[in-house]
Amino acid sequence: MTALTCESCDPLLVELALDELDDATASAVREHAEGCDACSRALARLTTGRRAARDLVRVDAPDLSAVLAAARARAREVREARVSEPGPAAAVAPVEITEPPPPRGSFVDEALRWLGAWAARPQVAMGTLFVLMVGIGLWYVPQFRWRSAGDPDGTMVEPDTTAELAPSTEVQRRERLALDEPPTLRLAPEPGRDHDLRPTTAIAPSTPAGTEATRTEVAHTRVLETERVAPAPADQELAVADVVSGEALGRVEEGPLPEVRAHSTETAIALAPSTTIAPTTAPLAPAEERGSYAGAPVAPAPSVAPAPPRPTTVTPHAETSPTPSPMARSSVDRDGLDTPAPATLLPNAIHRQARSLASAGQCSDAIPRYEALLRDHADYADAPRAMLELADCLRRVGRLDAAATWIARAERFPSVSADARRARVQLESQAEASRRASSSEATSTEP
Amino acid sequence: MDPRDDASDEILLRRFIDGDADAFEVLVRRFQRPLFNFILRSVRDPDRSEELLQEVFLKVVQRAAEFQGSSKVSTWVYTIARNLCIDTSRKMVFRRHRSLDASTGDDPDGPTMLDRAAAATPAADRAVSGGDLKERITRAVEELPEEQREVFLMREVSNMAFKEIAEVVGVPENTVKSRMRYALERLQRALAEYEDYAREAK
Repeated sequence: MTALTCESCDPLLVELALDELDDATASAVREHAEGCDACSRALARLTTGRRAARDLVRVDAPDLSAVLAAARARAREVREARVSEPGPAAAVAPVEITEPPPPRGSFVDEALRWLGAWAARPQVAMGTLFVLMVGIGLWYVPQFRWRSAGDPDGTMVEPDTTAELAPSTEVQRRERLALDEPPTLRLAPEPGRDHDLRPTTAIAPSTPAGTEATRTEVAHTRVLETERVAPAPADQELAVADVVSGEALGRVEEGPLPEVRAHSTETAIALAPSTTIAPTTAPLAPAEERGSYAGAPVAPAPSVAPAPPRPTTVTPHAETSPTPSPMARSSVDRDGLDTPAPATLLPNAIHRQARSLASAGQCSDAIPRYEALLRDHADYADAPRAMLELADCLRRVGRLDAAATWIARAERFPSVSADARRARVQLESQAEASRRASSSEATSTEP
Repeated sequence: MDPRDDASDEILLRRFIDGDADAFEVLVRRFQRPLFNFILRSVRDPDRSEELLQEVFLKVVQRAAEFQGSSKVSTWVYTIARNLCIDTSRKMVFRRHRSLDASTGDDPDGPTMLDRAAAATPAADRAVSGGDLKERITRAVEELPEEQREVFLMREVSNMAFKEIAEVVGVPENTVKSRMRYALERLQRALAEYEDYAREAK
């Protein structure tokens, strides 16, 4: 046998260590290993490992009587089956065991059986589940959910999607009760009947005993209660002072109050806050004076007398009823009057006004507005800018100390701190100039 | 001497299929010890190993008629045992199982699971050397990679040929030889320190 190389000897080392080689190959490998240091060391490692494997503990197997019993039972079954077999032919052609056909019943039984077989199929169960899920899903679709329960013909009712956020603004007529507050009335001037004292049937549709004076009083009372918010046509502007007792301005109607519209800027400023948040504080006439409504007889003799003169100050009234019921609030379309005005509306208006005055050079007029703005609206968002503008106005009118104070306040706000520093420099230069001027004047006046 | 003891595994299995329960008993006597050791070193849990050994033989009983005879009986039996061991090892990955080297009682120096399985009393040389060589060998075998350990166990514990092992494991024969070589070298490295220590102690 030819001498082995390391490459050919290396795979044989493990077989030599495990005594798997024939004698000739084993001797050749041993001969190579004796002359080769690397192969000799590798063989020594494998032999040591093999020796360790021989020292590995062999554990005795547990009792397997159960397995042996099962094997005996199986062997017995095999023997018994072989004895019971009639012959080889039976094994070749085993008897096919088939279930006996079910007895034929009536047509109904067969139909029920067919239906039962269909119902037991998983496809039917899945289909039923699908239909159920679709139905549940459709139940949550709003168009299918808000079906009126009391609507026999099943007409669809438009869902009120804002019901969860705000009271419903939908006008819903209901039967008026005797204890209800009188409804909000408004005065709608009738063209051509500007001062007609005859009330319409809307005031007292069923007042058989009502006199003309009574009706006039009723009309007058309601005029006083609603005239402050009734819009006057452009061609029929009436001074409030012109409204006197016994004079009607138009037709009194039930219905929502129109939006408050002022005819001058001052009125608008005065009306804006109280229209939204302040309830009416004007004294209301007694119920007898205000009259009744909707079928109730109008108060007779005592209210025939002319009503005492009323204060004619313009006070905005959103409603004539001092404590309107929630139902009344929700049933009247108030055109957004319930929505409070933004808190920034008034300070913005004041700021704009002051700024326009300042830009027009009317610093003396602008300063009190700025001061009022910063005093009454401390949380105004643009207050730092207003401070600087106020300081500028003060500087222009020569109140340098006050200007310095406002600049110092404005410097605390990072948004205008840079501008405030510039304003301070400008103010200091002006102060320096004024000091120089005063000193020069002093020196010139000295003899 | 029972003539059945000299019969090959295939003949014994054929006899059992024909209804000879004693032939199966001979087969059990041949395989139970190496097979149990193979299972024990694979799953490292004596209780589970006993269950697996019974399960292997019960499968042989149930499926004996399906044995085609294209391979050796030992290959077939070890294939069944290996598959069961793999399934069990996968299930035991996330479990804490008792080590064979862990003491069974409160005494940390008491008999280990391996001692209890091998003999009723602790190893005799354990107290003398302070470190049991067999215990060290057992630990080294258990620390072998799985593919090396199964080859090592089948070759050294069950005395199976490389060709048979290749059939059981399902890899080429040269791969089996390489794994066996790596296993032996790893065992030698693991025991080298111990031999140095033992040599110094002497």
